[in-house]
Amino acid sequence: MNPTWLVVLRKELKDMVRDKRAVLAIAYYAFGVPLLMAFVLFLMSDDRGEYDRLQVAIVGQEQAPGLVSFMANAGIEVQEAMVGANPEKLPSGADALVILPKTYADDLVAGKQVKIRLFVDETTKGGAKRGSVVERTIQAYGAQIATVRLVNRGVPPTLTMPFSVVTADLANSQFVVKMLGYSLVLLFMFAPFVSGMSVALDALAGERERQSLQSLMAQPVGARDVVIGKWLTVAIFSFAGSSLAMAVNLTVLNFLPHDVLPFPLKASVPGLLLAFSQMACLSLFVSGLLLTVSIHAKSFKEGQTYMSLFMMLPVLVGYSKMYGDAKIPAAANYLPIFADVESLSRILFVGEPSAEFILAAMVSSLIGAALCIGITTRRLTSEQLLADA
Amino acid sequence: MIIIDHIAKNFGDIQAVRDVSLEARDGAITTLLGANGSGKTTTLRTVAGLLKPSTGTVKVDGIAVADDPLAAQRRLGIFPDQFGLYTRLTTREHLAYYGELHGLSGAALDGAITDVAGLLHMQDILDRRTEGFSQGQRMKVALARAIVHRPQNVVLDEPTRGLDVMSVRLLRRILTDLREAGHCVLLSSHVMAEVEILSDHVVMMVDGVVCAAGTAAELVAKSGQPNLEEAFVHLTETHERTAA
Repeated sequence: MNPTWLVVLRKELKDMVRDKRAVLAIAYYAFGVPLLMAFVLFLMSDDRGEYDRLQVAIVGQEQAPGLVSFMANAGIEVQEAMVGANPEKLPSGADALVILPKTYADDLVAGKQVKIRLFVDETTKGGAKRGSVVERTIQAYGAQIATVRLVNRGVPPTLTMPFSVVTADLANSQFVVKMLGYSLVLLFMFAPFVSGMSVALDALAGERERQSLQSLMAQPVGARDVVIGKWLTVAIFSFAGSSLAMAVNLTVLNFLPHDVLPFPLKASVPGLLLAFSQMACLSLFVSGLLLTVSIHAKSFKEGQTYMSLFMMLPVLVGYSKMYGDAKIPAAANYLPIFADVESLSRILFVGEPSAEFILAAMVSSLIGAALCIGITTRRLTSEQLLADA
Repeated sequence: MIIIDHIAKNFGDIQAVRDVSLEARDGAITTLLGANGSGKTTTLRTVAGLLKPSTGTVKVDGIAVADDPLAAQRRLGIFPDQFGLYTRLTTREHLAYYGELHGLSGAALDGAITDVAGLLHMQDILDRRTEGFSQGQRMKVALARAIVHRPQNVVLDEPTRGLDVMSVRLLRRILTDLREAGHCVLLSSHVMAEVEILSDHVVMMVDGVVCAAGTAAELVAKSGQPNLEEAFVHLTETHERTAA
């Protein structure tokens, strides 16, 4: 004779596998999200590539080997251009057009000011940035020439340049990377919610709606066995969905060129095994939460309303980590989802799993799951609920 | 055998059942007869272990339901007022689920499903999903589900509601067969003709109390009315006047 929770589990699995909503939720999340990520990275890659792919067309470059060499050292590709005196658009493939006067070399030797015309396309933010980089590079080359002239005349160049400002762009190297990294982890946090929601709603709110709960509870099966059977069903769907989402996303990201990927993926095989174990515990917790919400709804539709409010939870946690990490009390980082975000980030982006946060994520999830099962079981034995069922 | 001894049940200020006592014997069909809201369903739910009576006791084959609900439920087959089927499961899967919850497995379970399918002439729908079933087919699944484990006691809450003539006749035959096989059958109804044809013992309820009990013939004779319907109206009104 099978334990009754196992009988409930087997029936629920058989029932839910045939539920198109439950299966589609997993498929949509596992395969739809990578497409979304690819789109975001495509947008990001345009900005990131501006330095690598910057190309300048120069009219009269044969007169300015020094400038061409300086630009090449700055990572700018230079191409010869043949355009009229008043161009209306940039040459094909060029981010900027520089027109040097025919007297460029002579004026430079004579110490005269050389008038260089720079044409850029500021239609897009990226185009404006590229034009600005070219302008700064030309100015820097001019400053270098000035320095050489002053040195030749015995004047220390520091007299005319009292400040030396070195600017480091933290956005690309830290904040944006952190934000994108947390966004990816947040997508993984959503997965057990999305994958288990429909199953959880059908498991309890659905039983109430189709009025089968009363019949079920009149059988010789304890409320706890019913809840455990249904909870494990939801957890299996949640874990299947989140594992698939994580596997597909990480596989796709792994195949992307490294210069397109805004954050480094450093996960090792043992790290990934830990990540999946952690997701299993999180799925158990999320399934418990979803069932607790589901049992308070009398119908699938009512449950969907509660769930849509409830889905704000991972969003809030994710944004708190992204924008207000420093303001979050330290203890909160040991709660489920908070600890999961922290731990997964370290496994995936640092390559060094944190035993402290992995343990916190797993233990807090299991405690949370036990609490949810207790609440749901208590509610299932409520006479009011059974009288209404 | 089901014995209900002076049970009362209230939901907050609402007194659903005030004082109900009855004995449903093995080999007999006992019917709770009453108007809507008279407390029939609440009484049957206390038998099923879904509700605990505020006072009084319910015993199923000598087992107090409040003390050991699971043991009592193993002796019961429940046919609820709503069929509540799982539309993505086949009839066979329904029967297997409920059979397994009652501890059946393997060949015993397969045999029980084959037997009950034969009894209810439902082989043609055994491997079909229940989505789109007619009311009669749904009734068959719900009844088969209730008796697949061959319970000694069968409890049915308004079983003929919404059924066509053929389904009602089939149900009557099944209940009669169960009686002949020595089972205890307890049902609720407000359909006089059905009660008169089926019942060995009728318990009339009004406002959560038993106002009269006996065979249909005894109740008609006691009321001095020509038929059971008139007897029901007379006896319930007499009780209400007395209570007032």
